Formats: sequence, C-alpha cells, structure tokens
Amino acid sequence: MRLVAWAKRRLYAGVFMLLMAVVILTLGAGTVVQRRQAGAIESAARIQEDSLMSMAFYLEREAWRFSASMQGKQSGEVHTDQERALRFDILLSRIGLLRQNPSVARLYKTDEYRNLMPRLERWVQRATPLADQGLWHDPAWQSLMTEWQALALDVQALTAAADAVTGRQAEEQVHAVHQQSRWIAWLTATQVVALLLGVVGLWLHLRRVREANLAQKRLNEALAQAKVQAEAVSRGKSQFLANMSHELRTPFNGILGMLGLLDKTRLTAQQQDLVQTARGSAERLLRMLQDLLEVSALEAGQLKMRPEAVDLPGVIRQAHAEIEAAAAQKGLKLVMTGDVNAPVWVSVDAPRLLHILRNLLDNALKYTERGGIEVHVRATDAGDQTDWLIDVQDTGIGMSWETQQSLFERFHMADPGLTRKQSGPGLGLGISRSLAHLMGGDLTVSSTLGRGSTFSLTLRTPVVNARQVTALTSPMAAPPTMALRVLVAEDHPVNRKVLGLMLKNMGHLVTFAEDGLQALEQARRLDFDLILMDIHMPVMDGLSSARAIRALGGHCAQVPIVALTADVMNTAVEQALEAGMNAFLSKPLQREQLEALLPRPRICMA
Amino acid sequence: MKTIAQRMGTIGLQILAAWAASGGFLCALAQASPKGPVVLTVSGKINAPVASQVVTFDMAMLQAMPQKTWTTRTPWDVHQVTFSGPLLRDVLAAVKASGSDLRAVALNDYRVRIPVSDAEQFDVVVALRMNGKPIPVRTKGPLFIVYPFDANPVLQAKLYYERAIWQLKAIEVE
Repeated sequence: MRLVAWAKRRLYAGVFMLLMAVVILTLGAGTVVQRRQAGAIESAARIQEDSLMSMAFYLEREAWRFSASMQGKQSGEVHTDQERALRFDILLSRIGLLRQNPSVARLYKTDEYRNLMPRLERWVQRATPLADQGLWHDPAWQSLMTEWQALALDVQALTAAADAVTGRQAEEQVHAVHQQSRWIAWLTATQVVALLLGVVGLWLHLRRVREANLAQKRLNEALAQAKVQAEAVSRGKSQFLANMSHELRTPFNGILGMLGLLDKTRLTAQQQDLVQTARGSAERLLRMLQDLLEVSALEAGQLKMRPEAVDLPGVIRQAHAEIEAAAAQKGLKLVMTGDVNAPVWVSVDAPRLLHILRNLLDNALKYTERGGIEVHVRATDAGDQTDWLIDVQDTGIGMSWETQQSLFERFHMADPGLTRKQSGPGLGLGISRSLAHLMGGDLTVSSTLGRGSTFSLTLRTPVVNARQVTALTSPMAAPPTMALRVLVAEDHPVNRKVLGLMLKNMGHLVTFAEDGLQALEQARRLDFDLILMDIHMPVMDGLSSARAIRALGGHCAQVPIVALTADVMNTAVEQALEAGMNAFLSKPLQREQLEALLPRPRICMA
Repeated sequence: MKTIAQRMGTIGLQILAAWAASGGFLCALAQASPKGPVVLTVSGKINAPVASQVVTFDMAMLQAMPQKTWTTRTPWDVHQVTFSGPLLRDVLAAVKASGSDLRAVALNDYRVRIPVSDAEQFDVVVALRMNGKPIPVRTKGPLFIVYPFDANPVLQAKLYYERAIWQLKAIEVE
C-alpha cells in the first residue's frame, strides 16, 4: 500500500518534470527560430534591396525613349544627335544596373532574365562602337533597331517577371510572418495547457491534502469516541468484577468456613478424609477463582500495588515453609540459600509477592519428581533501594525452548496432552509476571529440557527504616486468652453462622447484627472489644455504619472495626480506612486470618 | 603726390577688392558662368540672375569647390566605393538657397525630394568621382548625390537610398 503511494508520487513528480522540460524546450526552440528569422529579415534589410520593380520599369522606359529618339523624322519630332547620345548613355546605365547588383539578385533565376540579358549584352556590344563614334545615321542602325523592337518586348516581360518576383517575395514574407504567428500561437497554447495542467495538478493535490485532513479529523474523532467507549467498558468491567467478586466469594465463605469448622469436630477417619478432600477441592477452587479475578483485575488495569513495610526474607521463608510438607512427601530436597536469615525491612506488596512465590514453588513442586528445589536469594544495596534476585531452581523435567517462549502467555499449558500431570487453567505464570512488572521488576526463566528450570524474580524495593514500621499496639488490649466481646455485622445468615462458630471456638463472646443500622444500635447500647463489619449490607452499609459509630464518640470512637468484605478492589480498602475502620479482611474468612488479626501488631492485611 | 581723397579712394578700392576676393569666393563663383557643358542646373529659391532664374554649373566649377572624399558600401555595388565631390550644403550655399526642400531631378526624369536638413545634418556629397575616376553617364554619372551610408546606420534605410540620386541633372529649391 505504501509502496503504491510512493510509486504514484514519483509518477506525478516525473510527469511534472517532463511537462516542464517540454515547455522549456519549446520556448527555447521558438526563441531560436524567431531570432533566426528576425536575423534573416535584418540581414535582408541590410543588403538593402532597392526596388526591383523600379529597376525593371526604368529599363523598360528608357528602352522606349531610346526607340523614340531613334525614330527621327518619322514621328515628326526632331531629335538631335546629342539627345540620342544621351538617351543611349542612360539606356546603357540602366542595363548596367541589372548586372552585378545585389538588389537584382532575385531576378537572376528567372527565365525572362536569363533569356534577355545575353541578347541585350550582344546588342549593346554591337551598338556601342557606333554610339561612341557618334555615327547616328549609320545604316547598321536599321537592323539594330529592328532587333531592338523585339528586345523591347522581352524587356517588358522582364518587368512582369520583376513584379512576380517582388510579389512572391512579399508572399514569402507574409508566409514567414504567418508561420511565426503560428509558432507563437502553438507555444502560447502549450504554455497555457501546461499551466492548466499545473493548476489541475495543484487542485488535485490540494484536494488530496484536504481529504487527508478530513480523514485525519474523522480518525481523531473516532479515536476520541473509541477512548470514551473503552473507558466506559473498563468502568463496566470494573463494576462487573466487583459484583462477581462479591457474589462468588460469599458462598465460598460458607463452604470453607463450614468445612473448617467440621474439621475441628470429632470425626471418624473416613469422615476426616472426606472433609479434607472437600476442603482441598474448595481451596483449589478458591485459588482458581482468585486467579481469575486477579487476571481480570490486571486486564482491566485495576490492580494497584499496596506496598507496606515488610521483612522480605520473612515472606520468602513463609512461602518456603508452606511447601515443606508436600516436598518431603515427594522425596524432594528443599533448601534456601543466600540472604534469607537476616531481616531486611522494605516497602513491598507482601501478599502479591507471596502469590508469586507460591506460584513458583508450586510449579517447581509439580514438575519435579526427583532431586530438589533450591531457593536462592540475593539482596544488593542500591542507595535507598534494595535490589532483589530470587531464584527458584529445580531439578525437574525442564522445558523446551518453544515452551519457554510462550510460557508467560495467559492460558498457556506446557503439556496440553491428554495425560495431564498438572491442573489449573495455566494462568499462574502470566499473572506472576504481570505482578512482577507492576512491582517494578521482572520474572524470567531459564531451562534445560530434562535437567530442570530456574525461575528468576527480580525486584527493586525502597528500604524502610525499621523505626518506620508502625509498631502500633494491638487493637486488643486484652491478652489473646481473654474472651473478647465481638460484634459481628453480617447480612448473610450462613456467613454469620460461620463467623459466630469460629469466634466461639476461639472462646469469644459474639453479638450479631444483620445490617448496619442494627450494628449501630448495638454499638450504642453495648461496649465491644472488636467489631467485624461487613461492607455490603442492606438498610445501612458497613461504611456508613462505621462512620456513624465513630461519630458516637467515646468508646465507640476507639473500638477497633475490621471490615469484612468479598470486594477486593483497591477502592474498597481506601474507602474502609476513610470511614474510620482499622483493618480489612477479605472473605472468605479463614480462621488463621482471624487468629492473626487479634494478637499481632496492627498491620493492614488483605 | 596723391591727395587724401585719392588715397582714401585707393584704400576703399583695395578693401573692396580684398572683401570681394576673400569673402566672395563663393559669390564670385555664383556669378561666374560655366565655360564647359552644363552638368547641374539649380533653380527655385536661390540667388539667381533675374534673366534666367537659374544658376548653372559645369564640371570645372564644381571641381573648384572644396572636395570631400569617403568610402562606403552601397546597395548598387558589391564592393565598397570611394566617392569624392563638393558637399551638397556648400553647393546650396554657393547659390544662397533659402528653401527647406530640394527636388533633385535625374537625366531619366527620376525625381526625388531631399530635405535641406539632410544636407546640413549629414556629409551629403555631390559626387563627381567614383573610385578616383570621373563618373560616366553610362554608369551613374556625371553627378551622384551620395549619403555616407557606412558612417551612420540611420542612413541604411530605403528612405535615404531613394534620395541618393544618380545621373543628377537639376536641383529645384523649394
């Protein structure tokens, strides 16, 4: 397409050049011709043609006058010899003028001239001696005069020839002028045509330019519109995600919660086995759901990092510890090397980091049958930042080069055969890398088929002063063994049941509220040590309720309020904190989360 | 011993003679009559004898006047030609011509009008020699009014070629 346009442009340019050349050439040629013709005319003028006609005419006249003077007494006139001599002399002078005269040159070619002149010369040769001697009455004159009568007629013819020649010359000049005019007309016409073509070309060009501009404008408008639409779609997606997130997590809360509690009851071995299986499936499903939501959030550009002060090696150790049991079961050696022991406090989004590490370690576990998994950590100081290199190396089945190329694409599966070793929709690594990018780092792989793989995670994190770690006191004044008065505000009966049972198991006293308004009432009437507030509730939602409770003042302004919600969108957290809540837990609520919440120093957890 | 009157008279006569001799060269010429055949007859607004109303010249009279010589190309000859003769304005001065136009007439009755200004502006010559030789009637003689064509490109025009009359026989001053 571009080539065609380029070729077209060259064609137009070429044609234009050609036209210009033609115009210049014709102008040049015309000028040369004109100059030559003008030159010819000028030189002709220089030679100065005296009138050819008058030459011939005067000859004819003198011929007759000489005849008359020689007639003598016959005509009655008296002519003296002196007169005859004079007339003869003049006649000769007129004949002389016809010879060697540049003015008569054009007459030389005529038949009349070529016929007349020799005879005239011969007559003159015979007559001159007689005239010189003054013998005007010699009888030789008889024959001479007879001959002269005949010659006189030819002299008359010569005049006619002179006239013809002169006329022809005039015609030629007129013709020349006509030709010149025609030349000029043609040249002018060519010029005009060329000019018109130029104008047309210009007009076409302008039109093209205008069209291009219009197209550009239309494109801009379309783009602007597309942008607006895209933004609308994005907003729609975000809303959808928020809704789906909430809708899906709520029943999960029920499933997992119940299973967790069931697990704690007295069960037979068989029942325990069944519960464990169910729990395993539910947990896997939850993780897949979380992955899906994470991907959607990433695609919608909704995911924002929430870095906080964290002991990074500690997070790595946590991830490592999680797969210890499974690794041992598979007979794999598990080691951690490098800067993993000394605490390094940095600002990083810990849950997301954990997600990546879990992903890498799970994969390593999945694809390694024998040998071991090594996690190597290197922390490099870079001013007020720390550069991290975390390698997860395994001695597993490894990957081919092709596999490595498309590894990080979404929905990629390393082994799409029927015998599936691994499960999962293949989202993990794609998400992990996107998260790594969001954190300002990268996730890369190097692998040898049959020997093993090494996944390398690089990060750069701002160093956090240990003092900056908010060592806030536990929201709980009482030691963990003491029973707390907990207000649970949750509209869903199942979730209420779950929470209630969990808390009771932990030994706390629970009061329920079914919506924000009830929660407000309860808070006003009683003093609580902790309020667990669901965000999405009828009548009055959690945020408004929290604000209202805080507004009550006194003890209510201080009581820790923890937001519970299935909504994991970033804005939810900010809104919760703005409303006066202290912490944020996402549903489905795990028992461990609850336990973690209570005695630890307050760190915002998701 | 001459008396004063006599002496005065002698002086007066001498003065008169001197004046006549020096100043009236041309006048003397005018009053002179041709001894040879007449080659040029001048008539019209001139200082002519009452009886004939014409002034005639012969070749000797014209030859006696100061001669001018130059060479030029002409339309009637392939080669350059050297002309010599008295200036036309000198001839007109000799007859005390007072007109503004001249009618020059040739032997074959060809007539042409020549403005007197031409004679004053250009070195127009009444040539009586071509290439050093007298001009026979059988060519362009005896007299040929010639303009110095080569000396002035303005003269290289049909107008002046027509005025260059040969076989001149008479001049009528108007």
